[in-house]
Amino acid sequence: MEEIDLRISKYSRVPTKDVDNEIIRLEDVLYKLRQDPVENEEKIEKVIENIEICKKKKGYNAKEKTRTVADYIFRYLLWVFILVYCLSLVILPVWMILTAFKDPLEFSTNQFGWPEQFNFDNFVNVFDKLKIEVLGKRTYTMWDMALISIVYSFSGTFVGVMFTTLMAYVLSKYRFFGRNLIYSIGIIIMIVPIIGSGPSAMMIRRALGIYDNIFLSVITGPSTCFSGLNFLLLYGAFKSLPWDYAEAVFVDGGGHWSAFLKMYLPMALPTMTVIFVLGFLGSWNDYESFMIWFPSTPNLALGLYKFQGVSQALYKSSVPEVMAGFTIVIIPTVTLYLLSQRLILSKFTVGGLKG
Amino acid sequence: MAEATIETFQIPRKKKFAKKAKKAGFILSIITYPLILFAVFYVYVNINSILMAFQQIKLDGTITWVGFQNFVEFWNQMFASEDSRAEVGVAFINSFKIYGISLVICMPLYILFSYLLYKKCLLHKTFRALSMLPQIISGFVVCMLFVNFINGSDAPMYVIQEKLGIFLDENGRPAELLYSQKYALGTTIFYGIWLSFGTNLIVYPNAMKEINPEVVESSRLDGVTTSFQDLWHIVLPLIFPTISTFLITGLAGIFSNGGSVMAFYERNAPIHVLNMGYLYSRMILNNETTAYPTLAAGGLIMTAFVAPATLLLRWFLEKFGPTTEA
Repeated sequence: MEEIDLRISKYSRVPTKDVDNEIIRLEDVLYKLRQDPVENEEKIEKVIENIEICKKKKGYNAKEKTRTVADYIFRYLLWVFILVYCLSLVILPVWMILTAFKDPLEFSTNQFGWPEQFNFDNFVNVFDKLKIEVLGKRTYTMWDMALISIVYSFSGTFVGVMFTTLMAYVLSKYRFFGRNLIYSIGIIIMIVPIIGSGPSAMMIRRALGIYDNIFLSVITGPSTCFSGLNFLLLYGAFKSLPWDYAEAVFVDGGGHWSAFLKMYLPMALPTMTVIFVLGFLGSWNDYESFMIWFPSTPNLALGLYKFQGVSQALYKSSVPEVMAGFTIVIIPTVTLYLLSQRLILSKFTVGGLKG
Repeated sequence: MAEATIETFQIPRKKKFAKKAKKAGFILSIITYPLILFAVFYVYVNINSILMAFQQIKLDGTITWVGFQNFVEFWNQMFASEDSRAEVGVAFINSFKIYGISLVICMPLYILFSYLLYKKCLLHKTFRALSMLPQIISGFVVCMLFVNFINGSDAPMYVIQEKLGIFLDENGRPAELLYSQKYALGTTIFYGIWLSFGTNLIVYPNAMKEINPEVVESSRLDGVTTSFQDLWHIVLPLIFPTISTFLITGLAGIFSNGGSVMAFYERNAPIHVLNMGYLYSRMILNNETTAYPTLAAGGLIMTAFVAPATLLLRWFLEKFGPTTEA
């Protein structure tokens, strides 16, 4: 009689068919052993034990199969859900573009279909009609507002990213008195908010002449540039770079600025670009800050916000003209995003809050 | 001999000093301006806000000290009974509701969707790009499109409501989703959730991408076979610092985030959709100077709620959150 040696365990990867064959074989062995039960007592026990293991393995395989099917269904449902979600995001912009090309008369009967004829008049009309009069003093055309949007978005974001980068570099690469304190303050103000300081900020901005002044607001903007997710992103990027590069610059006679500008800045440029693009998109679309802090210099977003709100009564404009305005306003941001999409999708990561 | 020794020590000392001075000059040239800005626009603004909480500003601009009167006033408004609840009370409760819903519904969805994208499902690149659409084409444009989609008797949503018999008012007609007392808050919350996926579907999959493939492979040998097991035992513990950061900053912003209420209603939001972030923005926008001290006092009361809660959450997550260390 051969020795009983079973290598199947509950978790081993053995197909159910092989387990079934093994059970048949073992039952056959058991039958033979039971011909002489007194002599083979120990072997019988061992075979019975092995049959139990095989049956457990069979049960485990069945469960695993169920789990795999459930997993497949789970993934499939999730995929359908995300597909529906993404489609819901596409529907509105597609509707906007189609409406922008419709004649106002056609729009009243065909709100959601394809335009009978592509009409570009709405784009011309919106440039003529979109004018904002501020405090009865000055009228801003769409071109004026577009210029304000470009200047504010570019300069505001550039100043913000520049100071955040410099602070992240110094705090991550240099040891100096107060360094840990500054870093800790940055983390603390990020996680412990002081609520309701808006009214106080308004009073101080008015007193300093910063209220309603875009230039002063931009240059005084980075007051918390050593805090927030962007700072953490850049801090992490600089921290991961070795100090050896700076040493090499010093050996060649370069200074600290040279080390930063020639070595570290180029290496952090992809991360900075991501932050710049996301910041630019945010500033370009920001109408609330202009409404509160710069009421007499409207940007394009605020202009369109006001325009669509009172368009029919005041400007005698139609929904297709408003949609044409929206289409124009999104062209720069869509272009910028498409150009930097790959970078944004790969570089934007957020870690933990240490400190 | 002794003189020579002194000379050789003096030159490096000078060099060392010059080196230190250059380093200090570089550091100071960078940190001075941001720190001055921080002192004025953060520290001083907040000190002024604290002082303002104990003052009263009259219409002619006269300031008088009133002790804790503003705190009492705000507190009473915040916790008034449901019948006499003022705007502040409603906004306070709504802010909690919005955070709670986003925590319970949004966070799991962000992670599940991100996991699917991390596993490179079919069209994963397209999904990631599309989820950024609201951010790219402007939040307010999407908001206006959404309003046009759901508002008015000729809007598509009205037709859907009518055909399916859902979201009806007391008279059995389709309710105005942005103004109905029953549905307006839900509509603004839904809109917030709908738009919030963009950045999250970039950040979480990127954090998951950092997971070492060897860890995933060895987990398979240890019996991790299904997506749920993989997500629960491997992915979640390894991306927990990212989750923790968003949980903490989310709680920290509970009373500052106004959501899309300003975009929907400008200054005329109905009382049942108010939240603290919007309320503060609106009062500043309306230049309600006389209300500033009460708002400042309210801010301090809310800080007293949120600051310890945030620190407690951070401690809790660090203490009881999953760890990757053995």
